[in-house]
Amino acid sequence: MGLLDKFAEVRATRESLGPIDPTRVVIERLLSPTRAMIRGRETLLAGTNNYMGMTMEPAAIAAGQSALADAGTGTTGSRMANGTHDSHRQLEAELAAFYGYPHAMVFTTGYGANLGVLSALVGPGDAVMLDAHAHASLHDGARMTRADVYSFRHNDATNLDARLRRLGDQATRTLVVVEGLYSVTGDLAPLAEITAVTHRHGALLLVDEAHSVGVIGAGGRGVVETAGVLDQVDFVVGTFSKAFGTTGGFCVSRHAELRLFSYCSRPYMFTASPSPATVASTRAALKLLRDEPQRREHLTRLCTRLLAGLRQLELPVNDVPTPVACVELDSREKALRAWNALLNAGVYVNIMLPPATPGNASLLRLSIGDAYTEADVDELVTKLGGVLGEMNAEAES
Amino acid sequence: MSDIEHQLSTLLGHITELPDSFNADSDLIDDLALESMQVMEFVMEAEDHFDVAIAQDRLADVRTLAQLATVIEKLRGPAR
Repeated sequence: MGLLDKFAEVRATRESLGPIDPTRVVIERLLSPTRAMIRGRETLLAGTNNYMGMTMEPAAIAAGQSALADAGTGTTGSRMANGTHDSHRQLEAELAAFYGYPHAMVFTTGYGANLGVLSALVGPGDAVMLDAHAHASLHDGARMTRADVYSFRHNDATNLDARLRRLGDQATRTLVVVEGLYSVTGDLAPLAEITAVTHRHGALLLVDEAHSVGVIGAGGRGVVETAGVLDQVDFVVGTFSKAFGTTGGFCVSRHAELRLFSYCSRPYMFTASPSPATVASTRAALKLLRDEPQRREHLTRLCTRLLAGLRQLELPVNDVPTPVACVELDSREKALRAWNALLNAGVYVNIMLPPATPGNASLLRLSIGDAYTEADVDELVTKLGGVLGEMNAEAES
Repeated sequence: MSDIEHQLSTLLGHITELPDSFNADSDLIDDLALESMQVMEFVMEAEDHFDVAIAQDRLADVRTLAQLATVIEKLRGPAR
Protein backbone atom coordinates (compact mmCIF):
# COMPACT_ATOMS: atom_id res chain seq x y z
CA MET A 1 0.00 0.00 0.00
CA GLY A 2 1.44 3.36 -1.05
CA LEU A 3 1.46 6.59 0.92
CA LEU A 4 -1.42 8.03 -1.06
CA ASP A 5 -3.69 4.97 -0.97
CA LYS A 6 -5.09 5.84 2.45
CA PHE A 7 -6.74 8.88 0.92
CA ALA A 8 -9.22 6.60 -0.84
CA GLU A 9 -10.88 6.16 2.55
CA VAL A 10 -10.80 9.92 3.15
CA ARG A 11 -12.36 10.48 -0.28
CA ALA A 12 -15.12 7.96 0.47
CA THR A 13 -15.85 9.68 3.79
CA ARG A 14 -15.96 13.05 2.04
CA GLU A 15 -18.39 11.73 -0.57
CA SER A 16 -20.63 10.30 2.14
CA LEU A 17 -21.14 13.80 3.54
CA GLY A 18 -23.40 14.77 0.65
CA PRO A 19 -23.37 17.78 -1.68
CA ILE A 20 -22.28 20.33 0.96
CA ASP A 21 -19.16 19.48 2.94
CA PRO A 22 -19.75 20.82 6.48
CA THR A 23 -16.00 21.21 6.92
CA ARG A 24 -15.69 23.51 3.92
CA VAL A 25 -18.37 26.09 4.50
CA VAL A 26 -17.23 29.44 3.10
CA ILE A 27 -18.11 32.72 4.78
CA GLU A 28 -18.57 34.80 1.62
CA ARG A 29 -19.03 38.08 3.45
CA LEU A 30 -19.24 38.89 7.13
CA LEU A 31 -22.14 41.21 8.00
CA SER A 32 -21.70 41.33 11.78
CA PRO A 33 -20.45 39.05 14.58
CA THR A 34 -23.73 37.16 14.26
CA ARG A 35 -24.57 37.27 10.53
CA ALA A 36 -22.76 36.38 7.32
CA MET A 37 -23.47 35.57 3.70
CA ILE A 38 -23.12 31.83 3.11
CA ARG A 39 -24.08 30.25 -0.22
CA GLY A 40 -25.57 33.60 -1.22
CA ARG A 41 -27.92 33.71 1.77
CA GLU A 42 -27.88 35.83 4.91
CA THR A 43 -27.17 33.33 7.64
CA LEU A 44 -27.37 33.43 11.43
CA LEU A 45 -24.02 32.29 12.84
CA ALA A 46 -24.70 29.80 15.61
CA GLY A 47 -21.44 27.88 15.53
CA THR A 48 -18.54 30.34 15.53
CA ASN A 49 -17.47 30.47 19.21
CA ASN A 50 -17.54 34.25 18.96
CA TYR A 51 -18.82 34.30 22.52
CA MET A 52 -18.21 37.98 23.23
CA GLY A 53 -18.57 39.42 19.73
CA MET A 54 -14.98 40.66 19.90
CA THR A 55 -14.11 40.05 16.25
CA MET A 56 -15.86 43.27 15.23
CA GLU A 57 -15.20 45.28 18.39
CA PRO A 58 -14.10 48.81 17.36
CA ALA A 59 -11.50 49.16 20.15
CA ALA A 60 -9.87 45.83 19.26
CA ILE A 61 -9.87 46.66 15.55
CA ALA A 62 -8.36 50.09 16.16
CA ALA A 63 -5.62 48.66 18.39
CA GLY A 64 -4.76 46.08 15.74
CA GLN A 65 -4.70 48.68 12.98
CA SER A 66 -2.41 50.93 14.97
CA ALA A 67 0.01 48.08 15.78
CA LEU A 68 -0.01 46.98 12.15
CA ALA A 69 1.07 50.46 11.09
CA ASP A 70 3.62 50.85 13.89
CA ALA A 71 5.22 47.38 14.14
CA GLY A 72 4.52 45.73 10.80
CA THR A 73 2.76 42.59 9.67
CA GLY A 74 4.69 39.97 11.62
CA THR A 75 7.61 39.24 13.93
CA THR A 76 9.44 36.80 11.59
CA GLY A 77 10.85 34.95 14.56
CA SER A 78 10.12 32.76 17.56
CA ARG A 79 9.90 34.10 21.07
CA MET A 80 13.34 32.59 21.75
CA ALA A 81 14.94 34.63 18.99
CA ASN A 82 13.73 37.98 17.69
CA GLY A 83 10.02 37.30 18.20
CA THR A 84 9.55 38.87 21.62
CA HIS A 85 8.34 42.44 21.36
CA ASP A 86 7.50 44.58 24.32
CA SER A 87 3.82 44.04 23.52
CA HIS A 88 4.16 40.27 24.05
CA ARG A 89 5.63 40.91 27.49
CA GLN A 90 2.88 43.44 28.25
CA LEU A 91 0.17 40.95 27.27
CA GLU A 92 1.73 38.31 29.54
CA ALA A 93 1.86 40.75 32.45
CA GLU A 94 -1.77 41.76 31.88
CA LEU A 95 -2.91 38.14 31.70
CA ALA A 96 -1.07 37.27 34.91
CA ALA A 97 -2.66 40.26 36.64
CA PHE A 98 -6.10 39.31 35.26
CA TYR A 99 -5.84 35.92 36.99
CA GLY A 100 -3.93 37.17 40.02
CA TYR A 101 -1.07 34.80 39.22
CA PRO A 102 2.61 35.70 39.10
CA HIS A 103 3.27 34.19 35.68
CA ALA A 104 1.83 34.00 32.17
CA MET A 105 3.11 32.69 28.86
CA VAL A 106 1.68 33.52 25.44
CA PHE A 107 1.65 31.08 22.51
CA THR A 108 0.85 31.58 18.85
CA THR A 109 -2.25 29.36 18.90
CA GLY A 110 -4.44 27.71 21.50
CA TYR A 111 -3.54 24.33 20.04
CA GLY A 112 0.14 25.24 20.41
CA ALA A 113 -0.43 26.29 24.03
CA ASN A 114 -1.72 22.84 24.94
CA LEU A 115 1.07 21.09 23.08
CA GLY A 116 3.65 23.47 24.49
CA VAL A 117 2.58 23.27 28.13
CA LEU A 118 2.02 19.52 28.26
CA SER A 119 5.27 18.69 26.49
CA ALA A 120 7.27 21.00 28.76
CA LEU A 121 5.67 19.84 31.98
CA VAL A 122 5.44 16.08 31.57
CA GLY A 123 8.00 13.55 30.39
CA PRO A 124 8.93 9.86 30.36
CA GLY A 125 8.09 8.17 33.67
CA ASP A 126 5.39 10.73 34.43
CA ALA A 127 1.68 10.30 33.71
CA VAL A 128 -1.11 12.34 32.16
CA MET A 129 -4.69 11.68 33.29
CA LEU A 130 -7.15 13.16 30.79
CA ASP A 131 -10.88 13.65 31.14
CA ALA A 132 -12.45 11.31 28.58
CA HIS A 133 -14.03 14.28 26.75
CA ALA A 134 -10.83 16.34 26.62
CA HIS A 135 -10.14 18.23 23.38
CA ALA A 136 -7.96 16.71 20.66
CA SER A 137 -5.20 19.26 21.34
CA LEU A 138 -4.88 17.91 24.89
CA HIS A 139 -4.67 14.32 23.63
CA ASP A 140 -2.08 15.40 21.05
CA GLY A 141 -0.09 17.25 23.70
CA ALA A 142 -0.24 14.20 25.98
CA ARG A 143 1.12 12.01 23.17
CA MET A 144 4.06 14.38 22.74
CA THR A 145 5.14 13.89 26.35
CA ARG A 146 6.17 10.21 26.02
CA ALA A 147 4.60 9.82 29.47
CA ASP A 148 2.00 7.19 30.39
CA VAL A 149 -1.36 8.50 29.22
CA TYR A 150 -4.62 7.50 30.90
CA SER A 151 -8.22 8.71 30.78
CA PHE A 152 -10.89 8.98 33.46
CA ARG A 153 -14.64 9.11 33.03
CA HIS A 154 -15.96 12.48 31.99
CA ASN A 155 -16.52 14.88 34.90
CA ASP A 156 -16.39 11.98 37.39
CA ALA A 157 -14.22 12.96 40.37
CA THR A 158 -14.89 9.60 42.05
CA ASN A 159 -13.58 7.76 39.01
CA LEU A 160 -10.57 10.09 38.92
CA ASP A 161 -9.92 9.23 42.57
CA ALA A 162 -9.97 5.48 41.83
CA ARG A 163 -7.67 5.87 38.84
CA LEU A 164 -5.13 8.01 40.68
CA ARG A 165 -5.12 5.42 43.46
CA ARG A 166 -4.30 2.71 40.93
CA LEU A 167 -1.22 4.64 39.81
CA GLY A 168 0.38 4.25 43.24
CA ASP A 169 3.56 6.31 43.61
CA GLN A 170 3.24 7.54 40.02
CA ALA A 171 0.25 9.65 41.11
CA THR A 172 2.65 12.24 42.50
CA ARG A 173 4.15 12.56 39.01
CA THR A 174 0.79 12.89 37.30
CA LEU A 175 -0.82 15.83 35.56
CA VAL A 176 -4.62 15.73 35.63
CA VAL A 177 -6.06 17.52 32.60
CA VAL A 178 -9.62 18.80 32.30
CA GLU A 179 -11.55 21.53 30.52
CA GLY A 180 -13.55 24.22 32.30
CA LEU A 181 -16.40 24.29 29.78
CA TYR A 182 -16.53 21.29 27.46
CA SER A 183 -16.54 22.51 23.90
CA VAL A 184 -18.95 20.02 22.35
CA THR A 185 -21.44 19.32 25.10
CA GLY A 186 -21.30 22.71 26.85
CA ASP A 187 -21.21 21.24 30.35
CA LEU A 188 -18.94 22.51 33.12
CA ALA A 189 -16.31 20.54 35.02
CA PRO A 190 -16.92 19.96 38.76
CA LEU A 191 -13.64 21.71 39.44
CA ALA A 192 -13.88 21.93 43.23
CA GLU A 193 -14.16 18.15 43.51
CA ILE A 194 -11.57 17.46 40.81
CA THR A 195 -9.09 19.88 42.38
CA ALA A 196 -9.50 18.29 45.81
CA VAL A 197 -9.06 14.73 44.48
CA THR A 198 -6.05 15.70 42.35
CA HIS A 199 -4.20 17.35 45.20
CA ARG A 200 -5.11 14.63 47.70
CA HIS A 201 -3.07 12.24 45.54
CA GLY A 202 -0.20 14.71 45.18
CA ALA A 203 -0.87 15.27 41.47
CA LEU A 204 -1.05 18.61 39.63
CA LEU A 205 -4.08 20.00 37.79
CA LEU A 206 -4.25 21.75 34.43
CA VAL A 207 -7.55 23.34 33.38
CA ASP A 208 -8.17 24.28 29.75
CA GLU A 209 -10.49 27.29 29.78
CA ALA A 210 -10.54 27.76 25.99
CA HIS A 211 -14.32 28.09 25.90
CA SER A 212 -14.80 29.70 29.31
CA VAL A 213 -12.20 32.44 29.76
CA GLY A 214 -13.91 35.79 29.30
CA VAL A 215 -17.27 34.01 29.25
CA ILE A 216 -17.85 32.41 32.65
CA GLY A 217 -17.50 34.02 36.08
CA ALA A 218 -18.22 37.50 37.38
CA GLY A 219 -14.65 38.53 36.54
CA GLY A 220 -14.48 36.44 33.35
CA ARG A 221 -11.78 34.14 34.64
CA GLY A 222 -13.70 31.00 33.76
CA VAL A 223 -14.80 27.97 35.71
CA VAL A 224 -11.75 28.19 38.01
CA GLU A 225 -13.36 31.39 39.27
CA THR A 226 -16.94 30.12 39.69
CA ALA A 227 -15.71 26.90 41.32
CA GLY A 228 -13.64 28.91 43.83
CA VAL A 229 -10.35 27.21 42.97
CA LEU A 230 -8.49 30.08 41.35
CA ASP A 231 -5.86 29.95 44.08
CA GLN A 232 -5.52 26.17 43.94
CA VAL A 233 -5.27 25.01 40.33
CA ASP A 234 -1.75 24.60 39.07
CA PHE A 235 -2.02 25.63 35.42
CA VAL A 236 -4.72 27.34 33.38
CA VAL A 237 -4.46 27.31 29.60
CA GLY A 238 -6.71 29.11 27.18
CA THR A 239 -7.08 30.51 23.72
CA PHE A 240 -7.61 33.97 22.27
CA SER A 241 -9.57 32.58 19.34
CA LYS A 242 -12.96 32.58 21.05
CA ALA A 243 -13.96 35.22 23.62
CA PHE A 244 -10.98 37.42 22.64
CA GLY A 245 -11.83 37.26 18.93
CA THR A 246 -8.20 36.97 17.77
CA THR A 247 -5.78 34.03 17.61
CA GLY A 248 -3.23 32.69 20.06
CA GLY A 249 -3.07 30.84 23.34
CA PHE A 250 -1.76 31.25 26.86
CA CYS A 251 -0.85 29.55 30.09
CA VAL A 252 -0.95 31.12 33.54
CA SER A 253 0.25 29.54 36.74
CA ARG A 254 0.97 30.09 40.38
CA HIS A 255 4.17 28.05 39.94
CA ALA A 256 7.40 29.95 39.26
CA GLU A 257 8.56 27.09 37.02
CA LEU A 258 6.25 28.35 34.26
CA ARG A 259 8.91 30.98 33.53
CA LEU A 260 11.29 28.16 32.62
CA PHE A 261 8.94 26.44 30.18
CA SER A 262 10.26 28.67 27.41
CA TYR A 263 13.55 26.74 27.55
CA CYS A 264 11.99 23.32 27.06
CA SER A 265 8.71 23.78 25.22
CA ARG A 266 9.39 22.94 21.58
CA PRO A 267 6.04 24.22 20.24
CA TYR A 268 6.91 27.54 21.90
CA MET A 269 10.52 27.57 20.78
CA PHE A 270 9.96 26.65 17.14
CA THR A 271 6.90 28.73 16.21
CA ALA A 272 6.94 32.33 15.04
CA SER A 273 5.39 34.54 17.72
CA PRO A 274 1.95 36.19 17.38
CA SER A 275 1.92 39.24 15.10
CA PRO A 276 1.94 42.70 16.70
CA ALA A 277 -1.57 43.41 15.43
CA THR A 278 -2.88 40.18 16.94
CA VAL A 279 -1.24 40.99 20.28
CA ALA A 280 -2.60 44.54 20.27
CA SER A 281 -6.17 43.42 19.49
CA THR A 282 -5.91 40.71 22.14
CA ARG A 283 -4.79 43.24 24.75
CA ALA A 284 -7.71 45.51 23.84
CA ALA A 285 -10.11 42.57 24.10
CA LEU A 286 -8.69 41.54 27.48
CA LYS A 287 -9.26 45.06 28.79
CA LEU A 288 -12.91 44.93 27.66
CA LEU A 289 -13.44 41.43 29.07
CA ARG A 290 -11.97 42.60 32.38
CA ASP A 291 -13.70 45.97 32.63
CA GLU A 292 -17.16 45.31 31.14
CA PRO A 293 -18.83 42.48 33.09
CA GLN A 294 -22.18 43.63 31.75
CA ARG A 295 -21.28 41.84 28.51
CA ARG A 296 -21.20 38.53 30.37
CA GLU A 297 -24.41 39.36 32.19
CA HIS A 298 -26.10 39.95 28.84
CA LEU A 299 -24.69 36.69 27.49
CA THR A 300 -25.89 34.79 30.56
CA ARG A 301 -29.43 36.08 29.96
CA LEU A 302 -29.21 34.91 26.36
CA CYS A 303 -27.89 31.50 27.43
CA THR A 304 -30.80 31.14 29.85
CA ARG A 305 -33.20 32.01 27.04
CA LEU A 306 -31.54 29.44 24.75
CA LEU A 307 -31.77 26.80 27.47
CA ALA A 308 -35.46 27.51 27.97
CA GLY A 309 -36.07 27.35 24.22
CA LEU A 310 -34.32 24.01 23.91
CA ARG A 311 -36.31 22.70 26.86
CA GLN A 312 -39.51 23.76 25.08
CA LEU A 313 -38.38 21.66 22.14
CA GLU A 314 -38.08 18.82 24.66
CA LEU A 315 -34.37 18.45 24.01
CA PRO A 316 -32.01 17.28 26.77
CA VAL A 317 -30.03 20.25 28.07
CA ASN A 318 -27.34 20.99 30.64
CA ASP A 319 -28.30 22.21 34.12
CA VAL A 320 -26.27 25.42 33.88
CA PRO A 321 -26.80 27.87 31.02
CA THR A 322 -23.66 28.22 28.89
CA PRO A 323 -23.24 29.55 25.34
CA VAL A 324 -22.75 26.01 24.01
CA ALA A 325 -25.42 23.39 23.53
CA CYS A 326 -25.61 20.20 21.54
CA VAL A 327 -28.44 18.25 19.98
CA GLU A 328 -28.01 14.52 19.51
CA LEU A 329 -29.50 12.88 16.44
CA ASP A 330 -30.21 9.17 16.01
CA SER A 331 -27.70 8.67 13.25
CA ARG A 332 -24.97 10.25 11.18
CA GLU A 333 -27.37 10.54 8.22
CA LYS A 334 -30.00 12.35 10.29
CA ALA A 335 -27.41 14.74 11.68
CA LEU A 336 -26.24 15.56 8.16
CA ARG A 337 -29.82 16.07 7.00
CA ALA A 338 -30.60 18.35 9.92
CA TRP A 339 -27.39 20.32 9.43
CA ASN A 340 -28.13 20.84 5.72
CA ALA A 341 -31.75 21.79 6.43
CA LEU A 342 -30.64 24.38 8.98
CA LEU A 343 -28.12 25.88 6.58
CA ASN A 344 -30.81 26.07 3.90
CA ALA A 345 -33.02 27.80 6.47
CA GLY A 346 -30.28 30.38 7.08
CA VAL A 347 -28.68 29.06 10.26
CA TYR A 348 -25.08 27.87 10.50
CA VAL A 349 -24.31 25.40 13.30
CA ASN A 350 -21.49 22.88 13.74
CA ILE A 351 -21.88 19.21 13.06
CA MET A 352 -19.92 16.64 15.02
CA LEU A 353 -19.77 13.08 13.74
CA PRO A 354 -18.18 9.88 15.06
CA PRO A 355 -15.44 8.96 15.74
CA ALA A 356 -14.56 12.41 17.14
CA THR A 357 -17.57 12.76 19.43
CA PRO A 358 -18.34 11.91 23.05
CA GLY A 359 -20.23 8.64 23.27
CA ASN A 360 -19.80 8.17 19.50
CA ALA A 361 -22.88 10.34 19.03
CA SER A 362 -23.95 12.32 15.95
CA LEU A 363 -24.41 15.89 17.13
CA LEU A 364 -25.36 19.37 16.10
CA ARG A 365 -23.41 21.87 18.17
CA LEU A 366 -24.79 25.35 18.77
CA SER A 367 -22.91 28.33 20.14
CA ILE A 368 -24.18 31.85 20.74
CA GLY A 369 -22.53 35.07 21.83
CA ASP A 370 -22.90 38.42 23.54
CA ALA A 371 -23.56 40.08 20.16
CA TYR A 372 -26.77 38.06 19.81
CA THR A 373 -30.14 39.65 20.47
CA GLU A 374 -33.05 37.87 22.09
CA ALA A 375 -34.62 37.74 18.63
CA ASP A 376 -31.51 35.94 17.32
CA VAL A 377 -31.85 33.30 20.05
CA ASP A 378 -35.55 32.90 19.24
CA GLU A 379 -34.79 32.56 15.53
CA LEU A 380 -32.23 29.84 16.28
CA VAL A 381 -34.65 27.89 18.47
CA THR A 382 -37.58 28.32 16.07
CA LYS A 383 -35.64 27.17 13.02
CA LEU A 384 -34.07 24.27 14.92
CA GLY A 385 -37.51 23.23 16.14
CA GLY A 386 -38.87 23.48 12.61
CA VAL A 387 -36.16 21.27 11.13
CA LEU A 388 -36.37 18.66 13.89
CA GLY A 389 -40.17 18.72 13.76
CA GLU A 390 -40.21 18.09 10.01
CA MET A 391 -37.78 15.22 10.38
CA ASN A 392 -39.84 13.66 13.17
CA ALA A 393 -43.01 14.02 11.12
CA GLU A 394 -41.34 12.32 8.15
CA ALA A 395 -40.13 9.49 10.38
CA GLU A 396 -43.63 8.91 11.73
CA SER A 397 -45.41 9.00 8.36
CA MET B 1 -12.02 -18.22 25.96
CA SER B 2 -10.09 -17.70 29.19
CA ASP B 3 -11.84 -16.26 32.22
CA ILE B 4 -10.45 -12.76 31.55
CA GLU B 5 -11.38 -12.98 27.88
CA HIS B 6 -14.90 -14.03 28.80
CA GLN B 7 -15.28 -11.08 31.19
CA LEU B 8 -13.88 -8.73 28.55
CA SER B 9 -16.36 -10.00 25.96
CA THR B 10 -19.20 -9.31 28.39
CA LEU B 11 -17.92 -5.73 28.86
CA LEU B 12 -17.52 -5.32 25.11
CA GLY B 13 -21.08 -6.49 24.58
CA HIS B 14 -22.24 -3.44 26.55
CA ILE B 15 -20.55 -1.18 24.01
CA THR B 16 -21.32 -2.88 20.71
CA GLU B 17 -23.32 -5.82 19.41
CA LEU B 18 -21.07 -8.85 19.07
CA PRO B 19 -21.62 -11.07 16.02
CA ASP B 20 -21.97 -14.86 16.46
CA SER B 21 -18.59 -15.27 14.79
CA PHE B 22 -16.86 -13.11 17.44
CA ASN B 23 -14.04 -14.78 19.37
CA ALA B 24 -10.98 -13.78 21.39
CA ASP B 25 -8.91 -13.41 18.22
CA SER B 26 -11.39 -11.23 16.32
CA ASP B 27 -9.93 -7.88 15.30
CA LEU B 28 -11.65 -5.15 17.31
CA ILE B 29 -11.19 -2.57 14.56
CA ASP B 30 -11.48 -4.57 11.35
CA ASP B 31 -14.08 -7.14 12.47
CA LEU B 32 -16.14 -5.06 14.91
CA ALA B 33 -15.52 -1.66 13.30
CA LEU B 34 -15.04 -0.06 16.72
CA GLU B 35 -14.44 3.69 16.56
CA SER B 36 -11.60 5.21 18.59
CA MET B 37 -13.96 6.63 21.24
CA GLN B 38 -15.58 3.20 21.64
CA VAL B 39 -12.15 1.63 22.11
CA MET B 40 -11.38 4.23 24.80
CA GLU B 41 -14.71 3.52 26.51
CA PHE B 42 -14.06 -0.22 26.39
CA VAL B 43 -10.58 0.17 27.88
CA MET B 44 -11.96 2.36 30.69
CA GLU B 45 -14.61 -0.30 31.39
CA ALA B 46 -11.88 -2.93 31.53
CA GLU B 47 -9.67 -0.81 33.80
CA ASP B 48 -12.49 -0.27 36.29
CA HIS B 49 -13.63 -3.90 36.14
CA PHE B 50 -10.16 -5.38 36.71
CA ASP B 51 -8.90 -2.48 38.87
CA VAL B 52 -5.84 -1.87 36.71
CA ALA B 53 -4.37 1.18 34.95
CA ILE B 54 -3.66 0.60 31.24
CA ALA B 55 -1.48 3.30 29.69
CA GLN B 56 -2.38 4.14 26.10
CA ASP B 57 0.99 3.08 24.73
CA ARG B 58 0.45 -0.43 26.08
CA LEU B 59 -2.47 -0.67 23.67
CA ALA B 60 -0.42 0.16 20.58
CA ASP B 61 -0.15 -3.48 19.53
CA VAL B 62 -3.49 -4.64 20.92
CA ARG B 63 -5.93 -5.64 18.19
CA THR B 64 -7.86 -8.48 19.85
CA LEU B 65 -9.53 -9.43 23.09
CA ALA B 66 -6.86 -12.08 23.66
CA GLN B 67 -4.09 -9.49 23.39
CA LEU B 68 -5.90 -7.16 25.80
CA ALA B 69 -6.37 -10.06 28.22
CA THR B 70 -2.60 -10.66 28.12
CA VAL B 71 -1.93 -7.01 28.99
CA ILE B 72 -4.37 -7.17 31.90
CA GLU B 73 -2.88 -10.44 33.18
CA LYS B 74 0.58 -8.86 33.24
CA LEU B 75 -0.72 -5.78 35.07
CA ARG B 76 -2.55 -7.84 37.66
CA GLY B 77 0.50 -9.97 38.35
CA PRO B 78 0.68 -13.61 39.54
CA ALA B 79 -0.54 -12.85 43.07
CA ARG B 80 -4.02 -12.03 41.81
